[in-house]
Amino acid sequence: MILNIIVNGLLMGFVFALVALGLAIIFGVMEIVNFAHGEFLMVGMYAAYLTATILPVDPLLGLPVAALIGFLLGIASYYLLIRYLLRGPMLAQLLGTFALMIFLRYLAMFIFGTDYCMLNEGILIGKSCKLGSCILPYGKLGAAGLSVISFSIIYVILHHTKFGSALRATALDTEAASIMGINTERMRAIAWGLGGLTVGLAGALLTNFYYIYPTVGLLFTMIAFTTVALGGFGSIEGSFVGGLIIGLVETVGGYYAGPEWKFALIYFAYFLIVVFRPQGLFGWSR
Amino acid sequence: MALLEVSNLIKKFGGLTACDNVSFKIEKGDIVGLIGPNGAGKTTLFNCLVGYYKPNDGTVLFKGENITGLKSFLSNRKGLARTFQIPAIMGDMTVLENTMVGAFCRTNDEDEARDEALKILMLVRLDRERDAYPTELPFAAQKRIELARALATKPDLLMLDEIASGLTKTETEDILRMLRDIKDGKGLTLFVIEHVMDFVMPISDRVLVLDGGKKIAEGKPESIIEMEEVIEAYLGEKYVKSQ
Amino acid sequence: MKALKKALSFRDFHISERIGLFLFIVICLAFPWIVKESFARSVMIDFLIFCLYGIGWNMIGGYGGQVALGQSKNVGMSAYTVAMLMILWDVPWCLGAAAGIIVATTESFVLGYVLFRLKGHYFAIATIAVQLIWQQIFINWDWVGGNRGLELPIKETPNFIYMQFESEVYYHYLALSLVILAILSMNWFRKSKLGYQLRAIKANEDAAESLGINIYWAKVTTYCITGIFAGLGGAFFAVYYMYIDPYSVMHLELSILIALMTMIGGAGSMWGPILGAMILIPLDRYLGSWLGASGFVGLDFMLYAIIVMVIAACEPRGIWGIIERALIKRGNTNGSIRSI
Repeated sequence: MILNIIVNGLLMGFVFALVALGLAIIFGVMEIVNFAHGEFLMVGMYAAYLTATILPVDPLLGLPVAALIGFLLGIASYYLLIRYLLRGPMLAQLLGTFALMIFLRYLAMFIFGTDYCMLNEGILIGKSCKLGSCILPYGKLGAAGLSVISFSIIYVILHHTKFGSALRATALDTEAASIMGINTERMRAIAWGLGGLTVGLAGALLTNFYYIYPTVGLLFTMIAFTTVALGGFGSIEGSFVGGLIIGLVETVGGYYAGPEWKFALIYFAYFLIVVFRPQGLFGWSR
Repeated sequence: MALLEVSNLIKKFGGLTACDNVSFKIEKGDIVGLIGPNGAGKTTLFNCLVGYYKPNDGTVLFKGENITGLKSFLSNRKGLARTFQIPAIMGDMTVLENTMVGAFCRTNDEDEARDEALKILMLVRLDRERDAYPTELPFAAQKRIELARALATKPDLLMLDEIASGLTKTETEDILRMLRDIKDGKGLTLFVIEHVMDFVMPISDRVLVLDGGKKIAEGKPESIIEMEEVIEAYLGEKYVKSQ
Repeated sequence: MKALKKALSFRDFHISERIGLFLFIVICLAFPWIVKESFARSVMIDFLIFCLYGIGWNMIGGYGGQVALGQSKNVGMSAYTVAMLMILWDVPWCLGAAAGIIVATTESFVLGYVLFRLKGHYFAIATIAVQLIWQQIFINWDWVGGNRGLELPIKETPNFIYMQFESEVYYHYLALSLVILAILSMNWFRKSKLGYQLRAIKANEDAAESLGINIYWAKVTTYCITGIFAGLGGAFFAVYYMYIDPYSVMHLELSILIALMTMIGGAGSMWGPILGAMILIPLDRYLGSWLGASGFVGLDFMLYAIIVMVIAACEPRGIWGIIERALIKRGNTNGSIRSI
């Protein structure tokens, strides 16, 4: 029984890692915290959901749609709002991205109402396979697998391509990077685009087994923060490990403490991490 | 008893030893200059003394008390004040309010703080600009605001980090005279990091020379500039050899 | 004694600000005689309570620059204290409010002690995390009603011991007196050593520390003072609405609204919170009821969000910043308009 829980927790963990990746990228490239991160995920969810129900096609085909919309949403956010916020004091930055979150959240409520939706048809939906004593829903399995693949692709891009180096250079020292001829403004916009893309993708993956509703954003924002904090703000590898750990916390904790405490446990984990080890597992020590 | 006694101070950053076994004394009433090429570790030394950095080893005695590694607000309350290389001006507050922040170190009352601040502003000749905002004032004035703020905390030892940098010759002479008057008037002891030789040499009783984290020379200004080690530190081995 | 004189002296404000404050007080005093409509009166009371929250938050968030986004937990804890004391032991409002404030302030103290080692975003998110945890605790805590909430025991009205009245007029004057208290406290605060220290901390923490300021304690103390005002607001909330639950008195939206409102009005300025509440609260209530009736749920929040995004991007000093700039341009130069 416990093995089943742990394995399922790890599967969720892979998805959480992907969710947190976008936040880590954005925070790494410019020290601004995207409170609307979870809302981008929510948008990705709805994008996939609508693709699956309106067209109708298999939800897996919603993945590229969600990724694209996430990307565009990120870029748009940067050019319309974020780059102005970056000039201001921290209070303005925090509340600015917070307002973005509120805007998207209530926009979704306005358009979709407050109902919970669920996808019912698809290759990965509703079926599961048995591995030893563990029951692994296809939806979770697929989501985890695709998360790992996406994460790896992004990792390779960041560390083995010229573009990736440019992005990391901007993250480490914006001024120096721009003197080197890197268009840092564009890098920042792309960072937001990438952030939106990865988390939109994660949202689409979640539709295979998770409820879709307009207020789901805040929860995933907090999960992303906790994961990134655990991994260390600025560390990509950290988000991966952090994601797995938080996935375990959520599933195992939820099993023992009861579902209503699941989320409080995550917030508590965040609290413990920043108080006792603010640099996380892999982050830079201050 | 020396006012400030530093013994075997060591500060490392990873593999870099920024302060390497530095020892010296400063007596009450002295004006001591600290010079050395860029990267010698002068500001790091300052930061270790005020507690902004915690030294890896060594002791700092101030008025006989061990203040090694003590946080900077505590060392300030004991009588150690410092200015910053780049003036840390507080842009949302007027010149007077900036100075009052320093004055509040010694009093809880707004009126007392204001009176003290006004007196200090007159000393640094900023009393007419007291309601202006620092960002509206020229750089030299901003340096004087830094000075005023530090003075308002009624220090025994005032540590100035490159106060003459970025000033014209006239402004440098101005601030030189100002500091001498203030020092005599308040019985201060000064410890001054400087690159501007026109400032530090005339004002100092003694000069310490730092290079690569180590103290390489100490003595009166006239003799320091003749020392081979000092010339080598600034101008390099080749220059010395060619003399 | 001297502190009282300081609190009551507004002489260093520009004449237009003093006139503005005077008019504001007069209008608030006269309001219930001029406006008899129930909804309008309730909006006014809401406005006053948000002024209370905002002025308190402005101390730590505006002046101090520490974005603490968990105010509503203090509001809620105080409200629950008042309610429980009244339900269990018939404790009069004044004592209950005092207890509520003590509870809120103690929590602020402990939390501040733990969290103020953090800076910037880490701190802000941590306050959100704590807020959400507390809300979850209260939702699951059956002794204080869990998610069914608490109903306060109804007493014979008008009742000054338990602060229960039929007519809103009494509540209006109670709220107004609390707001006046807050304004006076703020006036004292900005002239006090703590106020100057906090502004220095906001401007440059390292420099502030080198000037003898114990940054940690300055922040914690201010955070506790902020807790006092949140506590007062919560105590009022309990007897005004007569019903509390974790969703109405401890929710994240309330914390955010307080911060948003202060920022829109002008965080770090004396009048910012009042201006912000003046705009947001009537907008929220009237728009909310109008849109709610037409079924456009969520549109009002979208509107505030847009307002905040515009202000955050263009004029982070809020509406007061805009007013200041306009007045300075018109010739009131030399900082005679005091922003703080």
